[in-house]
Amino acid sequence: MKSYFSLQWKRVMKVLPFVSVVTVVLFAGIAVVLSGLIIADQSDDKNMKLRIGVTGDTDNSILKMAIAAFQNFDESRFTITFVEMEEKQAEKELSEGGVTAYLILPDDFVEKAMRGEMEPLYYVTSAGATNIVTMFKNEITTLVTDVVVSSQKGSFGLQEALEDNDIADTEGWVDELAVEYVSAIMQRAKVLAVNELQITSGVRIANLYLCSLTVLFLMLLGLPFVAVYARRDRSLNVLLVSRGMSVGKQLYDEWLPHFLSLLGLAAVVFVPVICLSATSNTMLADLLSTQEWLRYMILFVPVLAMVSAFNLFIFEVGGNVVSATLLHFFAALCMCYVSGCFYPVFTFPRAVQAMERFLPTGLARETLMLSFKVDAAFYPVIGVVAYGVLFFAAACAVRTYKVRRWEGVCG
Amino acid sequence: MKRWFRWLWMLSKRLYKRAAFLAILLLIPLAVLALDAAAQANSGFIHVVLSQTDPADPISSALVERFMSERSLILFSYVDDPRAATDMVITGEADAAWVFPNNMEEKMDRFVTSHYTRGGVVTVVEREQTVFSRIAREKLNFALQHYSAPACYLNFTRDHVEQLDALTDEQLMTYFNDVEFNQELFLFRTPDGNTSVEVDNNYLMAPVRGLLGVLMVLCGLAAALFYLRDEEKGTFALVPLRRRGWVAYACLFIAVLNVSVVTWLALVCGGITTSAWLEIPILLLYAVCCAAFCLLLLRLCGSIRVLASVLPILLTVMIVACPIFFDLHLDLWIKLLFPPTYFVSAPFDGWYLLYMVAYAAVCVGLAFGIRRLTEWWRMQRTRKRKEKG
Repeated sequence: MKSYFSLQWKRVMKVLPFVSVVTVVLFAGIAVVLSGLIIADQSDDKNMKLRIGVTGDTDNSILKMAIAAFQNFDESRFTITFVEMEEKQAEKELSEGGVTAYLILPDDFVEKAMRGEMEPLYYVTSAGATNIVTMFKNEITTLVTDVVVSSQKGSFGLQEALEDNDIADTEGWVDELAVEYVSAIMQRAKVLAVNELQITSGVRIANLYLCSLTVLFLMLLGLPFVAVYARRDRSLNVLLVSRGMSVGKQLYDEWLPHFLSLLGLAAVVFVPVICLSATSNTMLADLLSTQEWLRYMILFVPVLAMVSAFNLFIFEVGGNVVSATLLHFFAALCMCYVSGCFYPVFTFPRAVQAMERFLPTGLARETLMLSFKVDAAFYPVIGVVAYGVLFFAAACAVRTYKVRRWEGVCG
Repeated sequence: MKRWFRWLWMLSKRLYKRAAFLAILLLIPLAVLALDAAAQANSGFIHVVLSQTDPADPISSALVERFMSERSLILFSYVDDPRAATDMVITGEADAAWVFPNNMEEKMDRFVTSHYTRGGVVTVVEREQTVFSRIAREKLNFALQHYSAPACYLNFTRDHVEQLDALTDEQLMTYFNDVEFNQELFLFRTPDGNTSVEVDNNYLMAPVRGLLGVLMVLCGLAAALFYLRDEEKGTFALVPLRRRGWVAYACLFIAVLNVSVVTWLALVCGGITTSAWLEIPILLLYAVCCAAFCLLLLRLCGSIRVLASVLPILLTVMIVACPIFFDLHLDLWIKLLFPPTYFVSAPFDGWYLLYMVAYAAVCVGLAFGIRRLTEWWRMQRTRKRKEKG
């Protein structure tokens, strides 16, 4: 039955040029995301800084001094930049991503605050924003409120004490206490004795993103082949079974060209990456060394063997182009989400992390991480191969059921 | 009217015969509920283990209780032994350990009275410095400020205001404690002034709305693939040509409308909504918008093979370009090319409801224009062949 293998090979070759274009575009999209994540994560101070606009009534000299002091002396200068601007400009920059958020100071904010009339500040973020600073905003603003209120209690407590005891504040003690509180806030970090052990988990977060997004890419790589493999008409399969070609052999002849084509497509996009990393001093060279990139590509073999078996299984279950597309995308998206392709896996609850280690996508990610993890156990590769065999067996079972049903319908 | 309902029923019935479509309708709310259940469990961007040298110390106990009870993006846990806390950091079970000393009040007072030179009150052990560890430390710093503020007030008063020396510390603190501020210092709002936009959900649930929007587009595209196949089979042969476009749109709209019902259920049950009733018009308009976008793609791609191949790129581009997981700060016009942007933004900015209508009108107009052009081109080609032949 060499001819069935040749037939499948030709079917794959027919769609390969188009699928190659789709693959390159898909790879480019995921590469953009990866580079964006890596740049955002770099520990370079410039890249980590968050810009927060300050708008409204910023003319007060005390406020200007406070902002300048925070910008030059405070611990937060490494992470946050406050930028004075008009509200319209702040709104524009917020929509373009120039600022993460902006504050609106009401009129005469400082003067009123010094009289004990604390008007609320508006903290403006874009709708549905999903970055880390926005997610932390509730926590940080609660704490800042706490600190400001405590400071105000001190200043106004002193003012009350002086008034109650008929003492005139000729020396400006209340203002001096307010300045003392600002000084205390700026020296707040000294209350901690910090011991940084400089132990990494062995995996840089950039490499974690690389492996996670590669898994996402490989999982979506097979989707353009749905029109080749998802079909309702089982008459050819029934005929082949009647001629002595088992369902398993048929699926193997379908799986092998699919697996080899996925490997070829992965090579088309990753070989230039390896060449670039070897020849130039780029972000790629920072991610992995050339040797690690080569190991990375070698580890694609078991991963793609599993992915191609998964694709065949889903296409068998789907039974037609549309159902197979829906099921494939939904299953791939759910598994990739839980396996840390979008959020790092350590941000998930422990129970989910424990489950994720046994998912095909989790094992695939662990397998790819072996390329740069020293002395790591090889169990992920065994897991990936086992899943590949399991998906293949499941595809055989589904095909057998459908062939028998087709025989029953037509026989 | 009867005819409309008959069409509605027939177009829905053909979808419910597809097991995969039914499976998706069932799986969407189940997946969201499962994720919501997972999101309720303890998780965080960084794991900090707390420990006290003296568990009876009131300040450290209050701090531990505060951190452990608050909902936070930092995962806090507690161990009795400070050495065990440090070991957890070394072994990687935790990212940082905060060890509170005994006699915290005395040590905080000393920190203040020494003009912040005798620091190092709380021991922080970290694996490595990251943006999360810095944010976590700021949380601790600001929390400790709450306890140093009274000491700062007392210390300053004793140092500078001799006229109040007659008062005891307790009497001075009465003035401090009697000052009340009963209002929020910060109010949150969006650029259009909407202040009631806080959706209290975990960061794990934050992208779910966007993903549901993408799934609705996916279902619309699946319906487009169904339609193309049915058109090949001649299912709509009896429908006049001039109405085929609207039939195509109706097929896609009905499919997306069905999915929007389960999406509404998923949003409400998962708590990912500002208002359950507000979601109904949003979802209706989004269904119109999605169907229009899918119709345009159907006309642009023209065949099952091309559309199925373009699908993964399109879905990936939507996940990347729309503000679902990441905000790559792309130009607004790029984000507005894809329907999920409108779905994600509509609950927070009412203008997006109008933008959805305009977007749908543009997509439908373009789709019909492309169809007219295609038909004209086919007619021209047929005419030229006839002239040659």
